[in-house]
Amino acid sequence: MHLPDLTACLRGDRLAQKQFFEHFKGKMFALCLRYAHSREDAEDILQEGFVKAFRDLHQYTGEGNFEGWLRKVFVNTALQHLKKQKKAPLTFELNDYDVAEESPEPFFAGEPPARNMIRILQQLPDGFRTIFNLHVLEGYSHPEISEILGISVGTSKSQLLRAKACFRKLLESSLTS
Amino acid sequence: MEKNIHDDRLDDYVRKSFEDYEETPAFDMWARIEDELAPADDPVPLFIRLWPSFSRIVAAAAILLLLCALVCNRLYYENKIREMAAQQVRKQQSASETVAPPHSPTPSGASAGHTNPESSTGARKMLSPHLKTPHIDNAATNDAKSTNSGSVSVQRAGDSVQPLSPKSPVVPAFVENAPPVQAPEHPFPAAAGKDTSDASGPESLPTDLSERLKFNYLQPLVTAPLSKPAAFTPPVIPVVPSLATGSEWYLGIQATPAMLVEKTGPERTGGMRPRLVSAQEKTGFTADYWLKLGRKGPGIWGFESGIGYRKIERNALHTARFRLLNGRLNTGGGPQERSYDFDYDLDTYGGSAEVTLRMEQVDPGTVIPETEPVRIQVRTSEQTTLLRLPLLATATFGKGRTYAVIKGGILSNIVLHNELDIVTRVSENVQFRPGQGSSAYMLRPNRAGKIYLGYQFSAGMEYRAGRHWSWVLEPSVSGDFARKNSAGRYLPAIVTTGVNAGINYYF
Repeated sequence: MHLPDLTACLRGDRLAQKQFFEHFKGKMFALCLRYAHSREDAEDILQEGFVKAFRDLHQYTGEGNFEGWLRKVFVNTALQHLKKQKKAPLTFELNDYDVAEESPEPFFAGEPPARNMIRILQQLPDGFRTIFNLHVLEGYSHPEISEILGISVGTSKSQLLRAKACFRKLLESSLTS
Repeated sequence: MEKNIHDDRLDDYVRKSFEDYEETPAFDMWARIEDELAPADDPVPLFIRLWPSFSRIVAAAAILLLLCALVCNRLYYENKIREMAAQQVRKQQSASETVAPPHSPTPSGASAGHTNPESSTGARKMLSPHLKTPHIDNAATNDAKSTNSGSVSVQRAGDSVQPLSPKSPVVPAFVENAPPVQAPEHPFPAAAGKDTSDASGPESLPTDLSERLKFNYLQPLVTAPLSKPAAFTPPVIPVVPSLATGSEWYLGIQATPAMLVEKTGPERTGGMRPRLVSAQEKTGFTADYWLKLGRKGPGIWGFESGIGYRKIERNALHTARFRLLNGRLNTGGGPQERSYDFDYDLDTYGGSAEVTLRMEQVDPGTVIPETEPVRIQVRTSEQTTLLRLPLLATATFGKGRTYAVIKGGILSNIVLHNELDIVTRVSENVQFRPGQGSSAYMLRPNRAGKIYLGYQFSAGMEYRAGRHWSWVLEPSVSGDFARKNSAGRYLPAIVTTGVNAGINYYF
């Protein structure tokens, strides 16, 4: 499937915009699900992200991968959404997340592993989930994360370690149950 | 090291799991995005877009107008005062000219500006500026000589002139009876012709140097103008008749034709039961009719209350968007009929309403996929009548006939009647048509509270045509405070801008 006509989208051609949406909706919704608490939140982020993408399309200069640019738009939208929900800068729980107290949902055999992992990610605190997503799945370095989230590099590293530990625990317990 | 390898394996596992992973969002996601993008396609009328700045311009213009009116008012009355003062002066001048005859008893020498021989020898005359042409009385001067005190008798302006006595041709009888004006004590009695025989020293001059220095040698001894002084004009304080007399009660009959703009809240389009908003189609017009009772003064402050009536006719439009799977298949129809009922909630000015729209499949034999969009454009008509009770603080500035009046305060609105109906339904999908018959649609209004509060501000002019009657013309802005319906959602808020005009009767 080839890339939709971006020039037509820029012009506001509704048909082209719909094609654009149809082309990217699946991947972008998966991204939104990873950052959001719930499916409803993810839908809100998706809606907001596409609207932003259509409005800021002129900012894409043609350099680099378009999907990479679009992912950035959605990641920023997701982060802003989380900040808005908290009504404060994204904060991080510095205490160890007591995974044992949580009862992770078991992996469903018939479901793709990603869907199960999304469920686990959604059980993580916002800060852990955000750093995990940014580092492991988006490939951002710690200095980049510290700049995006306004935290120190040390905090970013320590939070990532904790996030991974939590994620691993939840993953293991859900696989065994 | 082992931990890092473990971490890397976890990272790889997660990355691989999410590689090319896609999830399908809600079926109506595109419709939601399209809704949000819609304003770009359907530009809002220029007037509505400019409304915020327009209202500011109107407010600024109103304030400017008021200031201009106040300045003009002041300048007008200042001019009037000057004219009246000048008139009065002219009148007085002409009156004094007619009173003073050509054979005035004034000594020719004095009137000609010559010094009286007596006065030149040291008689001192302190003439009050309130006194008309001084007449130096020889006899009195002689008397003054004997008593070492100069005295001057004068004729008051407007006094009747008596014939001159043949014995004293220059001293009329009335002058003799006039009270003498005492001149101040001269510091050098000898110089003043005073008897200094009782003085302790050979000279009556003060021996103490400081005493000498106290005397201002430069001060003229004779301070009275010897020429004819200018006619005295008493200060004229004209009384501009102010029609506002202290604190007053008034009754007013006023009407406020106004333009009506409303602000609607956001819609919730997703889910099985969307909540839609019937947004006003275009700027509407309304009018308030008032019977007012108020009190002004004694200072600038006052208050105004009364009772008002408003009728709002509101034509609004909304588009209900569904997928076929959101509809309930109506099982009552025969094989030749296939219809679906779609439910949603509608926010209106009077509250909210549960709406059920029936849509019929044009060709019942066709199999239509569940994801087929069903869009219905619905035009509603809503009539609301309100009883309005204002409680306003007023500030009145100015004098004379024209006043600037500023009012502001709260308004209680009581809903007397609210009626909502669907006027037209248009299907945007040719495979469906709006249902026909008595069950084509259902509206179950769920009205908001009967009483709600608003605000009103106005600034304008009041012209007092007489003691009792006045004309009022004041641009005004009124609106509702935010209010919610029973579901806790904000209802469309209305703002009206108009001109309040009418008459007041002061009693």
